[in-house]
Amino acid sequence: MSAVSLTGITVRYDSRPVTHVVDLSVPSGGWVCLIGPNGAGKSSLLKAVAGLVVHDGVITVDGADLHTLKPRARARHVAFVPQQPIMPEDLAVLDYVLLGRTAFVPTFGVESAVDRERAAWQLERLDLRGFELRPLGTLSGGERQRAVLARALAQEAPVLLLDEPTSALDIGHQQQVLELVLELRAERGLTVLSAMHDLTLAGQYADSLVLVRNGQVMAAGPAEAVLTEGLIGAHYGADVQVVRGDDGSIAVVPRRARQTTSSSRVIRISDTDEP
Amino acid sequence: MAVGALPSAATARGTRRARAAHGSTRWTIAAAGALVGAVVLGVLVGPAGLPVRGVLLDIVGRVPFVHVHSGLTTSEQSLLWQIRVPRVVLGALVGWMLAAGGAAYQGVFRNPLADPYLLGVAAGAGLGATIAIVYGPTTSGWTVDPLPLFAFVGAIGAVALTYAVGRTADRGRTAVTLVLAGVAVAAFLTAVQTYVQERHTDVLREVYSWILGQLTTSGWHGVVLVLPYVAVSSVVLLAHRRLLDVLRVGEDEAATLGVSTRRVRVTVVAAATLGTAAVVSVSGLIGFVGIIVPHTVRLVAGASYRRVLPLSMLLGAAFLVAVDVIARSLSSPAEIPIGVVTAFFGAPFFVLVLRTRRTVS
Repeated sequence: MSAVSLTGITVRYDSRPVTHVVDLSVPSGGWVCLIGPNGAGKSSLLKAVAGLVVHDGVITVDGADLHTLKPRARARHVAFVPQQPIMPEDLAVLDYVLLGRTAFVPTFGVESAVDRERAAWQLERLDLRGFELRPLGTLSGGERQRAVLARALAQEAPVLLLDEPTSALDIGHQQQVLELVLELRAERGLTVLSAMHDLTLAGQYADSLVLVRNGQVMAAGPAEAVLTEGLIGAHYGADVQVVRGDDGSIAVVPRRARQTTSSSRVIRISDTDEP
Repeated sequence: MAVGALPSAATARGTRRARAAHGSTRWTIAAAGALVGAVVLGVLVGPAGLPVRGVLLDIVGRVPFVHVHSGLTTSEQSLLWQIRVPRVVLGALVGWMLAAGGAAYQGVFRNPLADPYLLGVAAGAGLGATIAIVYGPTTSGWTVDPLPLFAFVGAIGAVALTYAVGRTADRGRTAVTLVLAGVAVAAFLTAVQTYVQERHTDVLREVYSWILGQLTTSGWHGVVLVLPYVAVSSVVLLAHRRLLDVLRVGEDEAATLGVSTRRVRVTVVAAATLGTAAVVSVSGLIGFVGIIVPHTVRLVAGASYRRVLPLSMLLGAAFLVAVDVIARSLSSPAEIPIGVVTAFFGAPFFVLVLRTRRTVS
């Protein structure tokens, strides 16, 4: 169980700030999902926690400043699932997931039997049993995404960062993966910070949402408070309908712009003969 | 290239381990065998026409506690042990290091065209050698031939300059910056070298022949000179095999997985550069080996650095020894510069490997 706290985070790319003094906290064992339009700075915030970008401000996990940690120690605290991972085509799935054990393997040593077992176990949990020897290049988009998640879970870090974890998955696998993350939260007390485009899924699985736009936090709170037609309309520029499901969960349904019926647009096929 | 899925995780794990171990040993034995074969060929073949049986007996006779009379004359023995064997050993060391350096650079920069020449080793050594030939004192005035020293200093200096330039650009954080800095430094040093050559056209031939590469050596001096560098470099590179494998997913992801990417990059580059500079200072700029040998190994044995590094070392050594045999036999007793022969025979060989692998997969 680890609480994550971001204070005053300003991330700059080429001295251009993409986030502006953002404060954010994820309670221990909680799940906070960042939502917001493209370019809002969601990925940048995740990358700041992962230690991949330079930033002002302080990020702590359980009070420990991440900046002071060496990469190896950091990898044992934080696991990052990138949006577009680099996947060498010829690398076998099991070897790829084994990379997640890097922080446990002695620098000049090799993976142990325990490492292999943990990696294989993650493959089972992500429905990749039988894929051990398959080269990554032969996997479908969904299978690849599950492989990346398996690699991150193999790190056994208490904090999990998910950057668009379900974008390439079909609706069944989307549910499966997110349910698994929920399960792991319950089992291991995982703390999750994610960025997702799918607002409905974000609302269903995360404890609270943080709406980010132009590098600033515009709204934060439980799904009911953040997923409102007004806020979504204002920050996404989208016309949506917010619907409540039977179980109380919230669904964000896009509303199509009204079609003007124009008779001139109707093609009279019956009048034309075959050429 | 699809491999069929196996029934269960346990079976897969067991089979995989067995297959990996078996595969690794198989390839290592094959490569070691190729090296031994090349070395034997190298000591047996030569313009002096030493008797095969005599040579083999003499070599066996060097083994402690084995007393065999080889029948070679003293001058023949001297030729064998002061000229031919050192040359073969030097060829093996040079080939070993060039291939290892190439494989290591390809791992660090994740670029199939990377090799130590990329960061300026070639340009730096070339400039150093040119300066030694043009401005250096004649060898009779020194106890040590200044040429290798100048070439070595030039090579190391060029890489240091590349790093310095890379740091000012981007704090040296990314690999791409270093590569670009290397291109710039190499271009600059080559320009300086060309200028010096133009001013002293009388030594043009000497410089050119040095650049084309040579394994001529009198006695064991060359071997003794490079052996410590190659040994240290090899140990460091082999120790970093697994880390190079982790780097395959890119520096960012490798960092999140727990690798100190900058430290790995600097260490591997330093070790590969040191070893390469040492062999280049003695043997000139033999190209092609650092890129083609590791790629051949990848095509045949897979891209994991746990195999690519050691196999490249063995195969690189075997390749250069074999090529040297050709270089000194083809227009015997004259010698073709070894840099010419490596490319001439290596390129078609590589095309052959490319074609066969394509039909297999």
